[in-house]
Amino acid sequence: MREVLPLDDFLDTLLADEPNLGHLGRVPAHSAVELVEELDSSPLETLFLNALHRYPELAEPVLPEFDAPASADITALAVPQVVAPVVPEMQEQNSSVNTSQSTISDTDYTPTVTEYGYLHERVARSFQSIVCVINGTQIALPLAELGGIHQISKIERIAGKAQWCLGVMDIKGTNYNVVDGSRWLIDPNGRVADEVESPYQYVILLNDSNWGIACHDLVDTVLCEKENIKWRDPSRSKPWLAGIIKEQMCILLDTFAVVDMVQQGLVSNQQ
Amino acid sequence: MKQCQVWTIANQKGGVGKTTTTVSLAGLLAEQAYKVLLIDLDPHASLSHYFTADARVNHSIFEVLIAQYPQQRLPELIQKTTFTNIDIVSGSMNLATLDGQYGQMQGMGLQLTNGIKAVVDEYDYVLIDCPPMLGVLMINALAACQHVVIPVQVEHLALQGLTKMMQSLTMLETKLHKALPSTILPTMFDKRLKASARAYQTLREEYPKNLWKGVIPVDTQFREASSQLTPINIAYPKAKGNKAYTMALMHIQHQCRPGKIRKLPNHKNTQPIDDFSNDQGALHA
Ligand SMILES: Nc1ncnc2c1ncn2[C@@H]1O[C@H](COP(=O)(O)OP(=O)(O)O)[C@@H](O)[C@H]1O
Ligand SMILES: [Mg+2]
Repeated sequence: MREVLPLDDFLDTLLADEPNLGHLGRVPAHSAVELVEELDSSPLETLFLNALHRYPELAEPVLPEFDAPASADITALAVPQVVAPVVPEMQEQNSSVNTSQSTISDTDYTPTVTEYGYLHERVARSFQSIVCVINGTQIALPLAELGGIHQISKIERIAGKAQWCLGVMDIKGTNYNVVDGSRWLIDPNGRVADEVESPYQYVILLNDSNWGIACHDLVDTVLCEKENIKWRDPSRSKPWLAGIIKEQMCILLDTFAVVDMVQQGLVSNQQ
Repeated sequence: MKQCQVWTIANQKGGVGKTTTTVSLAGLLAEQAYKVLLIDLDPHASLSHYFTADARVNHSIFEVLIAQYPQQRLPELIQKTTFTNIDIVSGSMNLATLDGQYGQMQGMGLQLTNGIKAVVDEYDYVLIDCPPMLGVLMINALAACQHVVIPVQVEHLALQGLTKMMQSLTMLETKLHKALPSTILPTMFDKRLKASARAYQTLREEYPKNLWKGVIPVDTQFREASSQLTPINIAYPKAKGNKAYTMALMHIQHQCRPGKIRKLPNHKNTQPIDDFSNDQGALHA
């Protein structure tokens, strides 16, 4: 994760007499995406049931306490399968997205977990998450693993990109690939007709990657206690689905797994 | 010209009454016909919600914190509230990402100080509500203020958080080359609990200088007032919680009266910084 500066140095930097903010860009004042009427927010219970319906994995047995010493099979899961990172160049990616889309089969994908570990191993006993809404479903992302949140401005479509990639957005001089939250995560089979979808408002940048996910709204920041999360066994299918926050009854995303998958051209229900 | 006072309401612990203190003090100051600007630095934006301010991402104080010219940006973001004499710059959720994105950038801690310069002639008081963490946000607030109000729940565990907070203040005083006078405000005092009395006693012993000797009692009317989105002095002027905040405010105002400035380290300054004309000496801590 990010380097933590000792408090003393941290203060020296922050309070330096000579501000050096010249290269801080402005978030664009207006967005090309029209602001739409608020999404109706369904009661939490319904959302939870919807989530369960969509992700039956959540009803699976939960892993044992993570704070306890790791049990044999958890360790076994975490150690093997060193897979070379798949980080294709932007240009190459365009083509690899296209080809891999059609050729990926169940056995082709192995999560590169050894590089970033599992979310439940990365987070502290209590950690903050931000809750956003994608297509009416609440999704939580751990704050420490976000690269920022930006109002969506102009997204440049790239010819030949997968359907679930909205295109590329320039944020302060850096290009980020924007994942269509609905097409990638909520509705990978494309059952939602285009016309019922409302425009996205925000893009949430995922860890230090050049990927972000588009969402419709931001709901809250929540303090999550590790023990109050129903963790999934991450070695199973859908490695991006880290678990569910019981109190908010919303899905918790593993941002590294998401990036790992999109870099391989996979949508959320492929493995 | 107004003598704008900037107060930061901070504690490295959540749920101790920071936002309640900010709202209650703002209500009372506005009632005394002072013009008050509130700044919500908490990503939860509960202060903004209290005043039904627009807390969307590109309408908040975040913009000031990342602006190249914070002084220019801050006035553009001020929103009126439905209460006379109370304006607000809202918070928003992306504030939570500031540490990660800009936490190591030179001079980042002075953005708010610079932003507030633009409005000191417009307001008598600027009150800054902080998130419960020492990070870029709280440092901006502490660098920008003349006085720190530290609400502390009168409870044993909360006192440990206070030690951390006081250490942070001492460290910042050195870095900023300025005194950061503070007032510790015991909150949610429950007189029926022995534990409350014990914790209060500890506070008196450990912080004899900074502690306000009164207490803000547990009062359910705070929650009522909050559900009506109204400061307690307007919703329930007779509530004992309101009376306590009235006393607390008098005390803090007294601590901040111009004459007090004499006691700060720069007393050798040849510029006349004392102004005793307002100092009635009527209140004694
Ligand atoms: N003196 C009090 N008596 C009763 N409830 C209080 C009191 N002060 C605050 N509260 C309640 O406690 C909760 C937390 O207070 P809040 O001001 O939001 O804390 P913080 O801003 O430090 O997180 C709120 O629900 C608030 O209404
Ligand atoms: Mg608060």
